[in-house]
Amino acid sequence: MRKLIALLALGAAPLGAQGLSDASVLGGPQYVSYKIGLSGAEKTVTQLSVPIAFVLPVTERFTVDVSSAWADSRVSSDGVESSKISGLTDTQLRGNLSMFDGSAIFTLGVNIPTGMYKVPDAQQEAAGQIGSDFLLYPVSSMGSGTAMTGGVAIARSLGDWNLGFGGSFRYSQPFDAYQIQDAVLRFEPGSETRVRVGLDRAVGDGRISFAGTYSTFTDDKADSTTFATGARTLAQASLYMPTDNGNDWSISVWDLYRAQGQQIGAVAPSENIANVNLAYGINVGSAYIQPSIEGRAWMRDGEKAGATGTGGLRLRFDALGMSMNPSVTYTMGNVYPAGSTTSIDVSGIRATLLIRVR
Amino acid sequence: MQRRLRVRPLVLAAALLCAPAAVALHAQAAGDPALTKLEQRVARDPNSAKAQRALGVKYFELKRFGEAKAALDKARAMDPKDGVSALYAGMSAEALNDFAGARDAYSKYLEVGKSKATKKQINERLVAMARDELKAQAKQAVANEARLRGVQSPSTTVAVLPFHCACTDTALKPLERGMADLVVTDLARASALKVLERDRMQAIVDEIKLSQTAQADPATATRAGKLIAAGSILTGQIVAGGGTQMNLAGAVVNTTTSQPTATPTADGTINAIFDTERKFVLDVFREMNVTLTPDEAKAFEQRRVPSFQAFLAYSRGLMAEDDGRLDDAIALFESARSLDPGFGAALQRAQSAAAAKNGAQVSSASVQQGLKNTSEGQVVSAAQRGSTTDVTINLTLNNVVGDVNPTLTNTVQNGTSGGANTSTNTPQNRDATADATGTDQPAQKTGQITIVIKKP
Repeated sequence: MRKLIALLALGAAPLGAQGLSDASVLGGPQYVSYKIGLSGAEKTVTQLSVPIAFVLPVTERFTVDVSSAWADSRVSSDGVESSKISGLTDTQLRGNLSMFDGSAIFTLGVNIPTGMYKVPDAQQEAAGQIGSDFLLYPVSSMGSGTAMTGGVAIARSLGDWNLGFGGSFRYSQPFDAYQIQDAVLRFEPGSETRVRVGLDRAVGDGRISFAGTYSTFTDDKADSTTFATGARTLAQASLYMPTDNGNDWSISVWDLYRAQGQQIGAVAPSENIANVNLAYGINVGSAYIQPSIEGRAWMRDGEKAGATGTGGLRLRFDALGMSMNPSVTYTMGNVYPAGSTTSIDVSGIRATLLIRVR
Repeated sequence: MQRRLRVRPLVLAAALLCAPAAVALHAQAAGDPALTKLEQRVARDPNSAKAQRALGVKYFELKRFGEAKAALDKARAMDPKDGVSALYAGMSAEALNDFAGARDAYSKYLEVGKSKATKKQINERLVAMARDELKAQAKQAVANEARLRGVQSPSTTVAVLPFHCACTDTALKPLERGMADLVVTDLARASALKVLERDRMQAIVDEIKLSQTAQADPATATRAGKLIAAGSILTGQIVAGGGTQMNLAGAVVNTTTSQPTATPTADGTINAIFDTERKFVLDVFREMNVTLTPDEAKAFEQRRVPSFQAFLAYSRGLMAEDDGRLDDAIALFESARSLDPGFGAALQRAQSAAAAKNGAQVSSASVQQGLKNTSEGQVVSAAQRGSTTDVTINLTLNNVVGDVNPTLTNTVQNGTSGGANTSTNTPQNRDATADATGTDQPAQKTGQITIVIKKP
């Protein structure tokens, strides 16, 4: 603890004036609703969330951010609500300390369990559905217990390229995940070790970047049952290019691979989710308009598990001294139940209004 | 001991809270805190190109151009491949009316700079600046005229004054500029002569407000020649009465002796104006004892001449350009080009005038606006905030940090930024509980958790 305080004090040795006036607050409502299946066998998963993040540059080298969200998630079958979970999520407090003339960042984060625990039977379906890596709900977990993550990232130039390397370790404490009838399911997530490599360079006025992240986990425990859900590998690439007329376009690709693992009482098959997004940003006066299209494909155990196509429109403009960022997307596609070759239609809408108060 | 352990964190926490406020007060008292920080940084590490660059950019922002140029020149010496240092050194030099320094720095930026849009601006700015430079040089020459009187230039360094048109038809008056331009081009074919550009001569003529009638006076011509550092100056007259007859008569005046050394002439017709001009130039060569090499003579004989109407439009374009009417000049050069599509000089002049027009609009503000959202613009923004951090490295670091220890903050930040950050999200963290129970599968009618709980 004394070392931590000393480290924070070192970061706090100010080189320039920083303070509350430099803080930024970000947040705003996000609404997502996916309809899965056709009439008569239709499931709808809806989430309304309001994330909020507070970023405070304490000194030029030390920044603290705090984030949390309120979320309301519901599942309904053929129009009849079957599960609902609503409330505050966990709160994440993170400090970032820049060192060595800005070429390294040390980061320490704490997950404070302000979210939903001992989730009763009626809420469990909603709590689980929002965790989908394929449909990507803005709030994917209502509570994951006390955890601490320490990490470091360094970067240096190699000719025209910049190379970044980072690693982190996350330690999680046990928490009471579910209340099943009279019993409480105590869940202890395994520790996570994560490494990431990033590579980027300027291309004309634009930028191209590549990154890869590998996460491995020690065994999870649910009461006395021990299992491991499989290592995750995330590969990312993006190209951003301004055009001569002051607009820009960008293409970004990511691919998530989760190795085969175990669930409680079952095998967790390997899965792969690939995503490509193409966006064109247009500056209209002081406003920014960015239409985009996105495609996503999901494979489970080497078999098709789903695919979606998304069209979206994002705006950015300043109003009332704030940066307003409304966006809306519409998604169409399908998913395959495990072990089935018959697809089920999926369609959904996502609308957000994120606001940054400078 | 217990008591001390409790107090120390509190003291540290208080220090953490109070330190930024104390520093802010100190910085305000000292002036611009960002500048103070950068000056301290340079004092600590004078051999840091990034620190010198940031300080130079900051000085430029504060309009302290001399100090900006000095710091940026140091940065350029340490890192010649840095575009921002070259760009801001160029802008600082220009603000100091150091055109040579500005041209050198801008040219370097065109070589090593990264922003395509800014390079276009600088290319245009260089054209506009060349005109400003000619005017400044002319002013400087007039200011130093007394000193220049004793300077002797070789007689083979030749300048050509605008011709005087003694023409009945006033529509031919623009030929005064066109003929001088044509003669300069043809005289320059002789490697034995150093022929000074028409635009430079015109700047001197404009600066001393030399009237066309006075140009014929050898003493006045000598003065103009001295000011442009020419050893010989050619004056000329176009004589065209009411008919088609036309002749050219000139005098080459030695600027040291003020005596005419040659009096070339050529007779012809308006319709054969280019042939008349060719005879005139050959007479200049003969009277100045200039012998063309076989290749030069061949090139001269094979030169392409435009149609008369195109040349007249071109001459009007030169007149408009000399008067600073760039829009008119562009239109007239383009008209000359459309009358004679093979008229290369008209195309070049049209492009140059267009670049000069655009370049005149280029300012430090427009350059900085153009740099926005570029990696070089981020270097500038950081410097203006007092930071020497290489922001491109910052981008790399943020790219890595964002996923090494991601929180909801990253997700929200991505949603509120533009450009490279698109609205797409990535699955940064696993939901361990959903992973373990498999309840995250969307293609299930209902979630199902099968758990065997062993009761104690």
